[in-house]
Amino acid sequence: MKKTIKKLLALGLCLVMSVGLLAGCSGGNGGNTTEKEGSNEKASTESGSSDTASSDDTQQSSADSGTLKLAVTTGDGSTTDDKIPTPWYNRIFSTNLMFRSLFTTDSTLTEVNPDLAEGYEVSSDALTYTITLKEGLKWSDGEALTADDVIFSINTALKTATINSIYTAAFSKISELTADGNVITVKLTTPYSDIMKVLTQFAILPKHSLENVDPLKLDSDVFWQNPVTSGMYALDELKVGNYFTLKLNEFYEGTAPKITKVINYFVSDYITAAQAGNTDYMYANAADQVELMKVLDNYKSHEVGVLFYKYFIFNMKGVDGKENEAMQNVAVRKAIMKAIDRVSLSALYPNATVLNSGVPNNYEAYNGFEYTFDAEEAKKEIIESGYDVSRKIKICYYNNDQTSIDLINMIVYYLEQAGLTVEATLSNDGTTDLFTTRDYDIGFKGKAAFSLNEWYTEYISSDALFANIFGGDTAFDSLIDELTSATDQNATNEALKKLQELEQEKAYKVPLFTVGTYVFTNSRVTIPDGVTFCNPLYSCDINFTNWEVK
Amino acid sequence: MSSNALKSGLQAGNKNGSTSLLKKKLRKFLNNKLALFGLVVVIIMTLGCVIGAIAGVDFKTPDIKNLKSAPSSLHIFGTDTIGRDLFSRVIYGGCFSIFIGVFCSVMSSIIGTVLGAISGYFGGKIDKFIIRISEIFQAFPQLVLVMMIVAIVGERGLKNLLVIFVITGWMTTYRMVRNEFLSVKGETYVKVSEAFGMSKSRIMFGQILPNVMSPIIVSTTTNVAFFILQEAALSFIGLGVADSTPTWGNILNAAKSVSVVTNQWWIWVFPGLAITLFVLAINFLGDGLRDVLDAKQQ
Amino acid sequence: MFKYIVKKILMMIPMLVLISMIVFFGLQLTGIDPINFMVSPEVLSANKDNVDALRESLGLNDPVIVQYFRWLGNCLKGDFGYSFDGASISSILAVRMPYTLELAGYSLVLSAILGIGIGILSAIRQNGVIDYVGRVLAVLGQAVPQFLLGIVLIQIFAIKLGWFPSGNRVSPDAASPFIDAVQHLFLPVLTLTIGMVAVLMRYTRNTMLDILNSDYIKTARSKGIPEWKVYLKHGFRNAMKPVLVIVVFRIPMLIGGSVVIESVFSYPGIGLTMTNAIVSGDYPVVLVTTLIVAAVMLVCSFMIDVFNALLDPRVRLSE
Repeated sequence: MKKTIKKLLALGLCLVMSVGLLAGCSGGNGGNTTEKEGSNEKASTESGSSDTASSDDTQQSSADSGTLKLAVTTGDGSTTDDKIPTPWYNRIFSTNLMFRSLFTTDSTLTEVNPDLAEGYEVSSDALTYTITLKEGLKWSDGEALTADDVIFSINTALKTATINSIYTAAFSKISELTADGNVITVKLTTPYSDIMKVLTQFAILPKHSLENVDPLKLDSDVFWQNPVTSGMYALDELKVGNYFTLKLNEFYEGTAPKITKVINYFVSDYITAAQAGNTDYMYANAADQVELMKVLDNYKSHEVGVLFYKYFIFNMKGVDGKENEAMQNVAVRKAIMKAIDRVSLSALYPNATVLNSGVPNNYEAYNGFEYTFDAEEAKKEIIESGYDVSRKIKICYYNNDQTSIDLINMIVYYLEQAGLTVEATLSNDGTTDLFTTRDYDIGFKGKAAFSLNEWYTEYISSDALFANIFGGDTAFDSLIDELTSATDQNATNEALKKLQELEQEKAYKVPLFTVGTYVFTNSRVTIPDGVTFCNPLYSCDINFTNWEVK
Repeated sequence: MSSNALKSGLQAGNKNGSTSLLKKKLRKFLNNKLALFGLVVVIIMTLGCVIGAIAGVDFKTPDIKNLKSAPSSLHIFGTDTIGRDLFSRVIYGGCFSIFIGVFCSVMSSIIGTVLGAISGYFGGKIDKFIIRISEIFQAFPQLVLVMMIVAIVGERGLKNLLVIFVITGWMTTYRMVRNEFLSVKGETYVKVSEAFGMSKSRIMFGQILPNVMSPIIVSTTTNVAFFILQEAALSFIGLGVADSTPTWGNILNAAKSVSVVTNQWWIWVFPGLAITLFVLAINFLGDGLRDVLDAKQQ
Repeated sequence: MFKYIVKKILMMIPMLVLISMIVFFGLQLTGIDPINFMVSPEVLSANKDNVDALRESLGLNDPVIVQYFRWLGNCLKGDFGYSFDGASISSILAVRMPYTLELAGYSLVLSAILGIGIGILSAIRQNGVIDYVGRVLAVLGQAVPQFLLGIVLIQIFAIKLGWFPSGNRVSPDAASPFIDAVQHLFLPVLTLTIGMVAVLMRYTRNTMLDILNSDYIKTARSKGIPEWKVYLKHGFRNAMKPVLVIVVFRIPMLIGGSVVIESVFSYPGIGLTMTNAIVSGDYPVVLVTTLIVAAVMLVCSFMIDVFNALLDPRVRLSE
């Protein structure tokens, strides 16, 4: 009898232990939640949940204009759910509200209008730019925003690792960067026509918070858990793994926006967030997503003009001379393009337009060349080229969404019809995998280009990435210089035409089509008249001050 | 008396009633409607898949004009996101899924049984050693293994998955067999066999194993279902078999796209139903077998 | 008894070290360059020198052995290192572990209550209505792939009906943390529970049947003890022992299941962290999360041993 009691005691102890474990963790969690009790209360009086929002709003509509909900996706791997994403990589809606650039631009990303800067002047040789900063600018912590911050940001951008290459490509042309009071002088080594456009995107970061941070690890610094901002909003609360909220930046010098609070949910999937009403703004460029969003009648769709390329890269050789023999014959590469019916494939994407070079067919600069689909011809050309059809062609792709998988499956099918054996692999990364293993023949990529020039600057022989794929071929270099330094439309078109011919002759990088991008806004948001959205990965003026939420 | 004579002597007792016992068990099984249902479904689905695959159903030609078309007389399950016939895909994918389930569960049962027998019968250091190994395998997250092997081999192939499922799936059978052996090895007939100098492997596999066969058969059966579900789950996280090999899990993967879930029910309902039905049937079958084979419930 | 437990616990240390070695060297074998995941390809192209400097500063150029022991040394000091995206792993764990424990804990409790309850009822009324309905429903729950169940539940309860949030764990505008927690946990816990009830229910039913058919129950009945007392005092109490073992046995499966469920519900727990780390090649995080899962598994199997030893005198503790 005693024994049983002992056993029962032991059992009981185990149970108590496990209950304690549970209690411990839920207790810890309770602590977390109480910590932010204060902001909770504020949140519920300001907006409440979406169900009760209407009643709250009627009471408060005079005071403020409700809460805007945004979604920050962690599904694409470029952002994580434990910090504010850096504005130096993609400029997403949430960070656009927090960080400003020297200038702002319109939906075509070509205009240059004042933002942090009042204005600028260019010398006649297009080598010297003088930029005048506005007076009395302040960061969200009350510190003054000065020319020092601008110079610090540009210099740091050249040293950091995670940054969009449009900045490094432009800033590497800067030979001298000086400040005198609030006047900044930028001197270039060669003319760079896009420099001001690039500055409309480049977010200025606070020197006083970041000067002691290793630039290489800048994007992972604790700064991003509570950033000092220059925009209309400052961070209110970051709840790791769940959301971050924004409040008005009291030091913002412009007109305060009508929307006083923004909630950014970390989501793995935009569509579910939209369906659940957790985001008032989202964008999509896959057919199934666009189709679904158009069905939701509480969302309004806006088509956006974006150069979103879907393209192939043939894995040629590295600068070390290591070759991928199978793809060396240009006839094989061209035959592969001939085997794929791109017109049919474009049905998988919304508003996809087949294109034959980096220049869309409807541009003036387009040279008229076409890759036509002819399955029989392709089959013949592959045999004539002497390519061993029993050898597996390896394609790698890195987008894991259904549309990309569908597209790849279709391409595999077309190539098999042309008599080839094909294997498609989902890789972690569509570009570096090409040369780190040199095991793949073709990489499938997507690129939302800032401008046409960005497509062509990838060919430059000093490009550390693509040099490893195109073997550091220098054939493009002089033409690319001609393009980036061209100051008028004629010279640009001239350079583009020459580049297209070279591009089509080499067939290293072959575009399939550009795909349409749509921005969707919830109907509870009132957007002022005349607003046009730009490429959702960049920043432009959308008159946010006058947005309202019902 | 030779060991042969002993064996026949030992078996004689069983044999007397064996035919009537078999009949009784068969009747009991046939009376279990769920188990019978399970058996019939498993047989029909397996045969259907195999026959379909041999007949060469076209599971891979996309039809760009009939993307996502609803079930019709032309495509009785409809077509998928790139216009391939879903019926053919479910049939063809079934072959792979069922194969994965059966192969992995049989292989892992064999490994588990052999190791369990050795461990339980010999005990001592060997037992301790194998137990440690099994604990390490048990503790190792399958996901990480899959990821490492995929990265090392460089492809998401069927072979990888089979290897991983087998090496991470034998531990439950192992523990079960070991425990059975531990409790059985003290029984008189084992002692008698040992006394007559029967070889150890014969005692283990000839004498003791038949007595613990029932739970092994039952767990092998239900494991088939487990592995099929595992495959589907791995596909969902993106670590399953490559897309060019259709499996039920791969086909069901389309349910990742919210638009498919809401607008094209047939794309995920049919493969989902196939998995569910098959797993259900296997479980009923396993339950029935347990009822029949379990001596305690005679 | 005490000696046995201490010995068992000490055994876990070399096993964990072994597992960490397997993962560490295995990850090296994969040949994945973590730099590729830290820095986007577009960036790699522009700043090769910076990237090389970063590699050096992370110690990625040292021999593997050196890297392993440096890592192990830091771990022993309680410093799990940093994720490749810069967050301290200890702080990642501090935020995400409680979330996963909540999810797994509640699922375990709920499925145990449901599974054992239905199991006992179906054993008492074998082949009755409850037995059939319970068995079919339970097995059906186990037969539907968990992620599909999760997706469908989200579509119905979060999107169509709007009763529950579609993901995450905490919402910014919650009136009460408790209601908020219930709302966020309900669907994922339900999904995990549905998948687990079947096994527990079946096992309970079979154990209960064994016991109800056993001699001492028959003796008890013949003595004229009331039926409910027979069930409760003799049946239930004896059936509970093996069933509890099975409940503990479920924990590893629960962890496997929560990895998938967390990514379906974008629930910010350890499972999601691990999946993301695996997909993005974030070694340090893969290593530490693997070790945590391994440790949980080892503790479970240790608990099973202890339970077995307590419940079954035939298994000697000295083994």
